[in-house]
Amino acid sequence: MQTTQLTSDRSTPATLTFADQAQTRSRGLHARLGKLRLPLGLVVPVAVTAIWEVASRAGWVAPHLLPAPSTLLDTLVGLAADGSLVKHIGVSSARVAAGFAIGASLGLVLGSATALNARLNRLLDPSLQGLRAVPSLAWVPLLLLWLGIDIAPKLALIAIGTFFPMYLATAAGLRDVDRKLVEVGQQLGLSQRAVLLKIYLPASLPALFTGLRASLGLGWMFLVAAELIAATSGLGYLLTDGRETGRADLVLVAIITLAVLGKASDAVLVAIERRALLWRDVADPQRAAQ
Amino acid sequence: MSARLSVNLVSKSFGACVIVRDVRFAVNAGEVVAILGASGCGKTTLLRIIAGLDQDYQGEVVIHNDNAHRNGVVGVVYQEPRLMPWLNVEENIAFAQAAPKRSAESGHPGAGRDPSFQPNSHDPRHRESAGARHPATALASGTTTSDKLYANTNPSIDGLLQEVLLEDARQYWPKQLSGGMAQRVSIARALVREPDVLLMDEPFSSLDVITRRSLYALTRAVTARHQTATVIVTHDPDEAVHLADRVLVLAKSTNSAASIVRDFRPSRDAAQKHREVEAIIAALDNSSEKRAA
Repeated sequence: MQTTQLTSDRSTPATLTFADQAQTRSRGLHARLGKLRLPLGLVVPVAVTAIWEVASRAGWVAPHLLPAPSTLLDTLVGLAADGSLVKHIGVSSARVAAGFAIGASLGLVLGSATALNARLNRLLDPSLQGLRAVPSLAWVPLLLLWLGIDIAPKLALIAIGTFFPMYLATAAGLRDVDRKLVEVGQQLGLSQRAVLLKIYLPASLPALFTGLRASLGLGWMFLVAAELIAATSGLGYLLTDGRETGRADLVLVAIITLAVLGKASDAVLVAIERRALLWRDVADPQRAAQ
Repeated sequence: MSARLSVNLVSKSFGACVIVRDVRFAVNAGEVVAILGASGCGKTTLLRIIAGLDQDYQGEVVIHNDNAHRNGVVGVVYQEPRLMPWLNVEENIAFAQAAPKRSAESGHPGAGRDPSFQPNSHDPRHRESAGARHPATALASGTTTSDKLYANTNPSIDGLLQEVLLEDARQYWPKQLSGGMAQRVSIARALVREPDVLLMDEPFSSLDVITRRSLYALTRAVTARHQTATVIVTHDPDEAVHLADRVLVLAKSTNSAASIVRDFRPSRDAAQKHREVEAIIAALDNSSEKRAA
């Protein structure tokens, strides 16, 4: 009955009703568009693939330099059928996982140590920041000299790459923890360990997740750097193999597989992050921009 | 009857600058005392000293309790609710409940189980031991056996949620709460440890007048029920006369250090309360003019 009261109070009840209906319709449209959000991200790749296919079939591009998507699909199916694609993916993923685990863990430990201890910070941070400035590929010759061409230099390179984003994010996250929350724990008489685990750790989780995602992204990048140089398997090897045998289709299949793997591993982290940070009170910039 | 909380000649200075000088008052169990003063006069400094968050001062803060098995416990309600944003309402209260029931809030190791436990008795002659009372060092020791023994004496979280009228909000994140609701959670969190002394630092300053008035009533009810010696720091004379049994006016004197210049019991009569508010404002105004001159 509230609506009746409202409309009778206004001089233009009809306008209001129309406006209400329009708003309801627009909300319905929004809801439907919301459901379509997932496929929206596919529009660009599908469109590019279609144009690319047309361009290849029409002979606008040289097929040995840019094979048609359908050719790539054939190559992909071939690699999948003989099991080599699964092998390459498996080897590369295992290398990234191991290197990421080592690098990110070290980043977490050293980032926490330097954030929580001023003396350690003065001792270690300048050196670590100096090492961070070294371009990643500069490590390769040294790692090959020291560790040979087996798995060790690859893991070391990936660990170096994944270490720094995690180190920086952890240190920044811990330094940004609200002093007032820490004071609550101290006033309650929590032990130093409890303050760290119950206040510093959860409060810095958003920064830790940002660090993990940046770190994992760099993990894939350093994997390729490591596998391009000395490898007999893995997606980086597939890239080198394609170049040496003049098969652009192999190179492109490896690139696309890397894109899919990178995106998928990041999506896993994003899903975990969303669940873990439901409590976060943040603005939605997309809503603000609408 | 001895007072639950005694503040004896407490002074605090930063270098050569004296912030508060010779503050002395006592609060009984169940009593609400308001410390009223203008912004920057040292109210919060005084509160932090009683809370044990500031260990560097002269004088003595004593908490008496009748329980021979535990030290004086101080609960604090801060100006902002300071809830852990990653814990829901219920978990925020449980967070405080799980904290050790040793009065490490004042960082007073070695205070033992003396029922008349003295959190701090600062004598300049014992400077070297003053450092050991700092919260950061006191934090190192963990839960003691007595904490576990007496952990069950805590009031139930359910009961507290009912008292602060938040039974239906137990699963809410802090981001989903209004200012008044968040401050009620903060009150429940302070009470869950059955504090002997409850300190409130301008707890309602960011709330609208309606919410504020309802929280006065709630505060009076819970402090009476839990028999805490309550000290509420405020810059609002209206709040002081409506909420407190006794009002202490803290003001800076000519030497720029603040001390208690008035100590009175507000009238029960509304018109008289209004006159008291006006008188306080005039007195505070007068003292600031004197300093300026």
